[in-house]
Amino acid sequence: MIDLRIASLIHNARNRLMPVIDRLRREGQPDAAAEIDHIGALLGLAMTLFRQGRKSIEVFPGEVDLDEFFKELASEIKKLAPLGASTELHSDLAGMPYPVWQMDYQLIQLVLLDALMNAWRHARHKVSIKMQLSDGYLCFEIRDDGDGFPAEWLAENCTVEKKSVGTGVGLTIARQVAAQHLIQGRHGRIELENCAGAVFRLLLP
Amino acid sequence: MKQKILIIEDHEGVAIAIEHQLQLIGSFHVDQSRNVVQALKRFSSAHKHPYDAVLCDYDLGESTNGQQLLEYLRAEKRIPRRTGFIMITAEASYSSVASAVELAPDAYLLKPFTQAGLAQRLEFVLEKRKALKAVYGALDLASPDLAAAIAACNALVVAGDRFALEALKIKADCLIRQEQWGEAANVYDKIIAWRPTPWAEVGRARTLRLMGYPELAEEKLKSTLSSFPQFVAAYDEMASLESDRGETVRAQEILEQAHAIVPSNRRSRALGLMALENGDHEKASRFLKIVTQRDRHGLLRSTEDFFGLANALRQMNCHDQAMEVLDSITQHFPESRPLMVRKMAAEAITLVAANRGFDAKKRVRDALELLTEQMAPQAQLELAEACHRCGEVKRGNEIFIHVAENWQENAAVVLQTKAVMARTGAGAEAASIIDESLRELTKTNNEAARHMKAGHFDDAVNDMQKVAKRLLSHATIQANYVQALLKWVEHNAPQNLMSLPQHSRPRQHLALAREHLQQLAKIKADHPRLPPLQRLLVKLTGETDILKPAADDHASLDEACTMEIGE
Repeated sequence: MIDLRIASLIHNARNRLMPVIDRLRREGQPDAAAEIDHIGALLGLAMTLFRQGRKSIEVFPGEVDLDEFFKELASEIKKLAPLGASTELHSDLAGMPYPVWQMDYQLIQLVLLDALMNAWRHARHKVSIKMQLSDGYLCFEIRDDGDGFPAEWLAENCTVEKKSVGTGVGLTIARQVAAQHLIQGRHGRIELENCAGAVFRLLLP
Repeated sequence: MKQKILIIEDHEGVAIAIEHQLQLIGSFHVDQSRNVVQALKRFSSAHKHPYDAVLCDYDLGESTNGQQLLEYLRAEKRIPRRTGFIMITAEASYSSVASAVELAPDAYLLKPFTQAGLAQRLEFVLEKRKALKAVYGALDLASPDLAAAIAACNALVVAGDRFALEALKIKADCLIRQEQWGEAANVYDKIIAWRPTPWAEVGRARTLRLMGYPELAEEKLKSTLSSFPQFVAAYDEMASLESDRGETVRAQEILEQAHAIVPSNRRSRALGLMALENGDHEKASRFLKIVTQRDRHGLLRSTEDFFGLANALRQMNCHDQAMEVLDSITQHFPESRPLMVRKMAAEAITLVAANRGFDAKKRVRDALELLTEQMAPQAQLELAEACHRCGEVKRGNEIFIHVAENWQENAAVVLQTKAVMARTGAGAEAASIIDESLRELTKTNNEAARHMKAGHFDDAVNDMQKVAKRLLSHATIQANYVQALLKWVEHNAPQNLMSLPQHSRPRQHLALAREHLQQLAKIKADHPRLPPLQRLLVKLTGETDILKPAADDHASLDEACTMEIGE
């Protein structure tokens, strides 16, 4: 019941934001519009985390058009990236007969944006994100040119929650989201590596 | 011509904001609807120039949500396949719905969205529509051209189009509709070999079931569900499999699992009716109540839901509630003779159960006055049962036999007739009573067929006349009677046939042949013997105002169909 009421409140709040954003844009205030837009996105995120926080994370893999997914990710990056941050995007789906993958669109986007926020925070000059096929997995790789992850983060079962910044999703949830993508016994996973900066990889079966 | 877009959104401010964004994106003709009823009116008036895309809010603030509306629109063909559908939602958790449903929108958008986000989704949907134009064009025809749709899908696959996977999905679906199960299986195998894809796996299981390998189909579905436990179509297919095996209790359990994931209207109904069949009246009433109360627009309801619910309530001895449900039917559906007959019959059965025999008999009398011989079998069977329960056994049996004979060629109706009859006083003898009458009918018909072969057209006409006037809904009987009459005329009529007086026997036979040919066209417009019979009538009379046969039909009477009914 509480769940429904909160969902309804957030629904109304987000509905009310739409005309405000529209008006601000028409009145020539794109920065204010973008800020409110972001608040809306955070409300949606809060709802997702509220729902997901009640028990273990549930993923709902649907058929995702990867070109569309990457395009939207690019738009989100444009909205969320700090001023002056340089972010390179690269998609290489050569060898895929159909640009389609089974994954939870919203949660994967959430995990990637969280990792990107981490990267922007620690990068010296640039951050890059690449989508490609790797050994039968769909791989999203995020690199920055900062100092790299702390050594304790690189341990296989690291669940350092407090170190995660970004949107606050956290490495634990990221690992859960990845792991719950399961096809024919193959789970998704997160890989962390230091190689001229921090390298974050999300691999989906 | 501008591309047409319909926004279905209950918040005026949001709808205006979306329209403003659309005008900045491109030059569109935009309409708005605040609710489902307004939207349906828009779709009806846009019949000739359908919308290119629909932007629909998921939470319409009514009892029908956007997903239910989409399922209704697609199932009832209120919008063509080529109209793209974008769901707008304020909840990120919609992905859980979109990933599980069988009828997903082409895209969905999370509120609040930017102009760029909307532009991107719209571009995607319009691009998909453009790529699949030839496919949708063939499928949107009144009689879908499956071969043309398959050819258009093949072209997209060969060209390595971005939407090639969607084309393969549609192609396999068309192949199943053409009963080319092996070919469909090849398409699914090709996709599965690339990577496990839930809809392809369920499709593959369906082909296995249709080809008569239920064990392999079950194995396939189990492995699909282990990888994609939320994919409800796999549960539905598993339920069909169990139902085919006669394991309806197991089928009901599986449908309940699917219902817990996506409680769509279609599934609530299937579950309610299956529970009723299984004698699980508590669950039948629970699920059918959901369907009858779900949407106040009545888009998704059918009379079957109400009769099923009333039946379940009656079995639970909740007679007053059952009567209330039956009473409410005419508030939701337009009154027609078959509906009223069925309603009064169901009321009579309920009243008998409530020990109100006098009221029940009055209902039966009223229903019998409205009954016509060609009324839908469902209404007739309900009334036959009511007759039995009210002690009108002879009249009830007459109706049972009338239905079984008229719908002899529809195995499901014959089976249902036996089942309903068995519930009444006839008990276990029901099947033998029906079988005996059908044997008699078959004997008369086949005797006539033998007379025809021997050239004894007088005898053939006499035999067929006995049954054709009574069995107006029996296609083969109607065709045989027309054939006997026309062959008699062909054999006996002089050259100046049409100058004979109207009351002469040949002219009377021609008039009867014309009358029963029209009856055949009415009950089965695509009957294979209709065109050759029409041609023979034209040949004999020289009149051409009879229904024209299909252009590509040249079958002769002998080729078209045998007159005999299998014994």
